Amino acid sequence: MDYKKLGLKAGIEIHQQLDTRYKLFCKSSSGMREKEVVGLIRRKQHPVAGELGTVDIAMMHEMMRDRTFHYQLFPHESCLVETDEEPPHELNLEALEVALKIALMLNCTVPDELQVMRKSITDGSNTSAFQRTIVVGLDGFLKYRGKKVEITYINLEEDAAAIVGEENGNVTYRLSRLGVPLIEIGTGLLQGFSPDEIQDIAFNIGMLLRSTGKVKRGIGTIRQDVNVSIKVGERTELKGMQDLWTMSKAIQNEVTRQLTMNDIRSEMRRKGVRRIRENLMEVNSLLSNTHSKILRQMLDSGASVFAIKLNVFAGMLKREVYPGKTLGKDLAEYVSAFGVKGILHSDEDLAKYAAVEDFQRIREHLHAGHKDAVVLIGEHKDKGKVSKLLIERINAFLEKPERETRAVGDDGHIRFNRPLPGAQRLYPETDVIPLSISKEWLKKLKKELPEPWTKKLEKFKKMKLSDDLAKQILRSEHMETFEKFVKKRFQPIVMANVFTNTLKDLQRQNVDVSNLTEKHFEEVFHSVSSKKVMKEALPEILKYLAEHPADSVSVSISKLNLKALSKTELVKIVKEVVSQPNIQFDKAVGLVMSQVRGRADPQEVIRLVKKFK
Amino acid sequence: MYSQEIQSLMKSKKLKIGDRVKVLKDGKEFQGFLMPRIEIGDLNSLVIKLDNGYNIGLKYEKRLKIQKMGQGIKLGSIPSKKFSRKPGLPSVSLIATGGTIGTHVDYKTGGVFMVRTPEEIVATTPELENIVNMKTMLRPFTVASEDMNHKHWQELAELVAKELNKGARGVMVTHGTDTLHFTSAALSFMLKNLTKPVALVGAQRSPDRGSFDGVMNLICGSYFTGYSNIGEVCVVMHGTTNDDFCFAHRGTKVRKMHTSRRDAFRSINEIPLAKIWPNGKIEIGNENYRRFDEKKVVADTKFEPKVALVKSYPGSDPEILDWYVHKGFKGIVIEGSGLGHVPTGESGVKIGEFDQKFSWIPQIKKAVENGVVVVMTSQTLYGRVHPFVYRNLRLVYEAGGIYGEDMLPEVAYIKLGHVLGHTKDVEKAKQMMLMNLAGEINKETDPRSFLV
Repeated sequence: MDYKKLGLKAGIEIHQQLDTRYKLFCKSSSGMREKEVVGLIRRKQHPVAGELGTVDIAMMHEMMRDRTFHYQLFPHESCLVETDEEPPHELNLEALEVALKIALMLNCTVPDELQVMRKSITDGSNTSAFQRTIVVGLDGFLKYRGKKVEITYINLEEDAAAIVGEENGNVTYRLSRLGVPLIEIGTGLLQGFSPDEIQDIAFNIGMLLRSTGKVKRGIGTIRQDVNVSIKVGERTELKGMQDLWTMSKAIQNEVTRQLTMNDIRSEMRRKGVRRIRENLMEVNSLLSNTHSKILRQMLDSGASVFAIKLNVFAGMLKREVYPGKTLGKDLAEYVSAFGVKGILHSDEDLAKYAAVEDFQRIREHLHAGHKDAVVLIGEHKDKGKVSKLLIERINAFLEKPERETRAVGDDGHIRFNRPLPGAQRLYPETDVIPLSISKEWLKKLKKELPEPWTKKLEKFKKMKLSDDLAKQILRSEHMETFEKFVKKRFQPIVMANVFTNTLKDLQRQNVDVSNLTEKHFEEVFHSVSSKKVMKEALPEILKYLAEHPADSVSVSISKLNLKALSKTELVKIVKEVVSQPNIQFDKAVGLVMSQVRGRADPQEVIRLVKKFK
Repeated sequence: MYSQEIQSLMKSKKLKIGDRVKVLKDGKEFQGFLMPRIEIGDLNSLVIKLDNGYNIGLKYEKRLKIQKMGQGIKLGSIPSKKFSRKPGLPSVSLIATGGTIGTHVDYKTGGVFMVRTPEEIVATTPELENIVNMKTMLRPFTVASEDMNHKHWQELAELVAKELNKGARGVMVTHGTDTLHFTSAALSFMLKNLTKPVALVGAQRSPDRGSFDGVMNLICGSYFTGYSNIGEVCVVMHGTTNDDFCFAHRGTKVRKMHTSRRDAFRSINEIPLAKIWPNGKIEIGNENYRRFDEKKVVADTKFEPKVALVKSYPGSDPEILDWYVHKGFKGIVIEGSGLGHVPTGESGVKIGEFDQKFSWIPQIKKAVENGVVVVMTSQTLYGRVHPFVYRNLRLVYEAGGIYGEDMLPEVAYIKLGHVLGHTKDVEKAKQMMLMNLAGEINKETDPRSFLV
């Protein structure tokens, strides 16, 4: 696809949790380690009309869902500030310092005085229904492949509560995440870049954040959103990518979706259809003898089944909006946002659902011809409302492209989330006083900025690390330890391998590597450089230490019998093996290795077998 | 308010708050709206609302350039609601007095104003329209609850009585929470022969946010006034931190027990009269209440303002009582410790003059001799005071102080003002103080009434 020609524009927004001791506006821990739920709070939220007396469209959407929010409490990780029962305490200066450093690294202007704002949030993820946020940097840039990527803003804000689950209008959130310092970085609209490049820019920003050494790592600690539009489409916000590597795929899917929706629109117009007439009826009585399991389930659950006739729409619902998702499926996901389980429609394989006869009967009643599509929806509340919303939805995109937010799945699938909210409503948080930022402070912070990660990458490569290994260690949570140990003259390649591949392997074997301390690593690497053990023995030793963290490295070496052999010992073993009559070279190496594995360098074994054979 | 420098800059550039401006500083350009300065922070920094909604402060320096770009934004107005009359719904009146529930955050400036009219307050909770007919909505005055005094209580009592006697089934009063329990006690004493529900309702979170707790309090207050068969003054506020139900607390048995929680109001020494759910369910929890009736209520608002509430504590100087006596106070409520103690210097081993200096007994005696009614209550809040368990208690009793049973100190204070407003006869006043006038004294204490 020629993205330049399509007019692809994308703006990235990155949310990264900071690794500070406390939350942003209270003295609760930002650790998010507690597992035990020690309390549960139930709340409702209400739409608040804005200045003009209108309720924001995204808010209306939330109100329709009429949900109850349940908030889990964790010891030391949720206080009265998180339960919206106490005003915020003073701003966390540790977090502010990190945020200011990031603003300086991205060449931003820092306002002379910072004002904490309240940003209205309506999905229940904030107990207060707003998020506290501060702009700490404006109008900066990042250099990428010789071009300047505009950094529009950098905000320091509270993270929202993490969702645990949702069922029948009840949403459960963990309060441990609410209030954790979060940095939000927004780029300007990127034009002339491909989806891969856009993803790479996000990667670059992520690496810059990591270089501060003060950001959290692991799943969920960084989330990316990207606004995508093309000439024939409208701005869609793709939200919540926890895995950066889905970004390019998600952008490609969204571009395809916008193109497909445009095609469908033009095609319907050619057929003379600009709007679908609202034509629906309750059909429970027509389904009383149904053989279809899925329809039977709908009826048994007490649903009113509504049939909708979509004139001249036959065949459209099976069109793929992007590879792997039909329009029918996309619409089913839309109605599920209103609490409806799913839909059954005439573009599906009705024989599979044993619903051929049912649809025939319904078609007759709706006077639906073979060019028309028929959709069935089972509704429990405000009957007929969701069916009408579905028709409205179709009419909306037949008229013009829709602005909306979509959630991105792990596989790059993009799923309707909610309409794009209107301009975000921000107003000052009067419970926290504005904070002046002195020039002296900024000067001091400038001197403390970390080395650019690209320089670090070069440095690591000079240590003979491969490009891949260098990037891995750069992203590893052990990077600082690695750099510290490099100064102690331990072997970089050995260490880099341990910190990336070995630990990953052990984790895959369900070894709890979080038991390994810096001291463990130091002793282990020291044993390698002093030739006490071979590097080949490290996985086993580390596994042992992770399982017996109280034992010392030397204890583990002797317990595992992994002490490196002296040259004399090795020569003795080699001589014994090669002295066997008629022994082949390969067999000899194999026999020696089986005796000395982890205790001798395999290259040395080969050399000695050759020598004495 | 901005600094003098900025004010004169604005004057010279003909700039008004709300104007669209361009500011140039250190080679950077900022565009947005000029915001008013809230009284905190650096008064010499301009506050600009950027187009993305964020406010930033730009320190004023000589090299800063500012230029007007366009007309000002209109500062926000908030929606208000006139209720349509729905047949079949009970008619209640709403009186708005101020407080968090009546504040209005201007979304553009962030300024907090205590200006909500009753119509604006009910607009936060459109659900009310299907619960009651808001017969009348009144705003006699708008003050924060800490600024209230007996004059406000008197005016409120007159208004409530007038509304009820005009045919309202009940009256809901919105009020700041800090002294809500003083007002509820005052109305309880002043509304004689009350047989209709009067609800005092407030909020602990501001109405600008989706988590505004006033929504449920208003809904439950409407059910209470429109449907309950309780004919008393009650505080209707969150029962727990959850948005599950409200309690209706008797106006003379309730106290704010937390600075900020939604469920700050607790019944003390009594089980709350009722639980009210936002779906309209009302569950009576305490059968000891006056039943609803259509009788006329009388506003009996006489009040003696020269009464005081004084706390005694270890090391406190008893001469404070002399001051009140000297100033002509007619009654003093002492918040003593435990069962009703003040320091006496009479216990244990004597260590000389030191003890006597701190004794409150001589001052209490002097006050009583001067015709001041002295009432003893306890700072434990829970429980009943008792004059005879310890010798030190007997000393107060002998000095002429009376023991206020299980009355809350604040309630005893209001009651004393009310009683002395009606009689100058000290003995009669003492008698009345020990009589149950409005549910403020329970002769028996339910063991389940602690920490509920």
